[in-house]
Amino acid sequence: MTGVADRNQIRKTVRVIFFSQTMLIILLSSVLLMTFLSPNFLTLRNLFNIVRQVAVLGIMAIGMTYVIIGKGIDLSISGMLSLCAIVGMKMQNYGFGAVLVGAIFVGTLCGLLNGYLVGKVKANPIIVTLGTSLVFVSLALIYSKGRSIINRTERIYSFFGNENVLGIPVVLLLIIALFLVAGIYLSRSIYARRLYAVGLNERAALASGIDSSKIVWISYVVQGLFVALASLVYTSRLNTVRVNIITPYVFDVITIVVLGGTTLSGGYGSLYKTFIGLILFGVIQNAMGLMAIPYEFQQMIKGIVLICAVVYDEFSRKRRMSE
Amino acid sequence: MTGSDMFVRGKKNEKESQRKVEKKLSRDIIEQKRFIKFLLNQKLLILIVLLVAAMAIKDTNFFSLSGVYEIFDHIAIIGIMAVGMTVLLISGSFDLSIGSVLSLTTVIVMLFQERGILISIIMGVVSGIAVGILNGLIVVKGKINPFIATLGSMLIAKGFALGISRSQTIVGSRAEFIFLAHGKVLGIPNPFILLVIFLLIGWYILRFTKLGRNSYAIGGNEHSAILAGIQVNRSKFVFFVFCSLTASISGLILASKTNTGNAILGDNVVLIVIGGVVLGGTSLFGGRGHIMGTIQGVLVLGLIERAMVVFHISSWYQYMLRGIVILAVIVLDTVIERRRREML
Repeated sequence: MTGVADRNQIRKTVRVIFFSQTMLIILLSSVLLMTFLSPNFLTLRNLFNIVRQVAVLGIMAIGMTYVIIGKGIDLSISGMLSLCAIVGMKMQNYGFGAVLVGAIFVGTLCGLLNGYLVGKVKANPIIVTLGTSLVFVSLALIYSKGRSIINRTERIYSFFGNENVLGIPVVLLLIIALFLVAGIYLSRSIYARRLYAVGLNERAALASGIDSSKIVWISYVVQGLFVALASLVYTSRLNTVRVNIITPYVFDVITIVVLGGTTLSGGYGSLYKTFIGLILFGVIQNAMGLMAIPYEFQQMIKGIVLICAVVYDEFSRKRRMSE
Repeated sequence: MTGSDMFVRGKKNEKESQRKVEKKLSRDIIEQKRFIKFLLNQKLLILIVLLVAAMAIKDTNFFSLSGVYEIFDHIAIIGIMAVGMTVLLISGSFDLSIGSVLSLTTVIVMLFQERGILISIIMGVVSGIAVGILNGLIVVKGKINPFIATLGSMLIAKGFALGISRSQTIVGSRAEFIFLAHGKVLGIPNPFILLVIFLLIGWYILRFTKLGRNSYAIGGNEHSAILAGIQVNRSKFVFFVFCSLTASISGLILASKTNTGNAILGDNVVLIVIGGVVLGGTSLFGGRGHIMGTIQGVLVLGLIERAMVVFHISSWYQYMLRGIVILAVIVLDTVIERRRREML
């Protein structure tokens, strides 16, 4: 008798592990597959390349995870990124401190605006952030007069972008540090508990004395802060900063967060998941590059990946609810 | 007359007066509601009048028939899409992919031009409808949030358009195709006629058909719509396909107007369309809205855009102005919706 019970127990555990770590399994199997397909894939150089490619997206995905857990969404991040990068570049003459302060100040202001409109006014986050995105882009255009900004004088930029410490890219260390800090905060702090509660059921959160509008508001400010940090890496990765109306960053970041398993319906997810999603996204992107798929079709494949991730997300949510 | 009789009558009177008070209260609320609605409508009209007056001072050609045609010619592309979006928004759904559908249609129409104009037009519309079917299937069968589903199909459609056009602008080879946007029937420009036709179709659907009633019912409360025996899934599917169809028709007009096909033509369109529809009083929360409002909303946005051209405002500021208008609209919509809920 006990043998049957044990076997059931084991089967159940295996199933739980499989369903909770699906993305990790998919990641490992895709890495394995790529190692067989391309000899250049599993080299240290290429792996560091992947990290460099997704660094900006990863930092923005941290903030996006906060926002999505609070049942929001932020489509203004690419506009915000341009604005922060331009302001940061313009502040160069006053030293790196000014660059940091300038970018973070602007990012926080943008986050405050989004947060006010979504959290306090309770307007639809999609339309609000699409609208603010236009405002941010046009501010960046006006401030840069529509020209590319090239002159990077601060050494710190190339330090972020290209240099290594102990053979490890600075970007990788930065990302790991940010994910650790934000991840620990998201799993341990009172604010994070409240954020989950608001995302899961806003009314219930309100009834138990949580100031939900403030919680949502803060999540957008966090997003602005991380976009500002991402803008520093962004400017150090590129030689010129030019404001573009169309930037695909938003959808990439959302894909990363959803791919990790954070649900868009709010109240569920973690930064560990987002990290897995980030690496998986990087591997997919890198694989498409190695297999020489044209850029245009890469977009399409990303769309298909997003839809598959969302459908899987819905499927696993139903499973979770039924159990 | 006995005492108890008196008592009953007294109670009756009391009840009646109470009922009167209640009636008056509810009438007050109704009137208040009406007033808010009236004010909102009036606001748009006032805005239209102001914009027209401002431009008439600057532009002497404005009040001629050709000036009016020019305006409507300009808003036809947005207006036709707005019809589909109105029906969809009323049913509580949402479509982000219309911009990509527009681009995809322009590309496909231009690619198939060698095989004949009719075939190219059919292929363009079919490609648009295919995206609509994909949207409908994902939302209805997969039970996915329409926002994220159409986000995915937007990426797919745009990637496909980029892929088959190799990121190039395709120039049309048939001169006859231009007739669709530049030609006139009985002296009236074709886009204007198409706009009126689609507005009438939208109006007819929402006003007189079961499908239109279903749209309001689903948007008002989807769960009770299911309980009332409405075929929610089938209706939603039809709305998604209709929305993509309108985007496709707009794509045809745009392709004919510029005689080019490009995968990035429709990139910022979705925001303008939704802005116009919501400006016209259709709620993003579903259940409320009408075509008349949509016409006005789109007209206001079109006039603003034209005013920016007339007054020589740089395109950098145009983005800002557009963003601010949309933010103002959404905030207004939210505040009105909240007040409406508080009243109920």
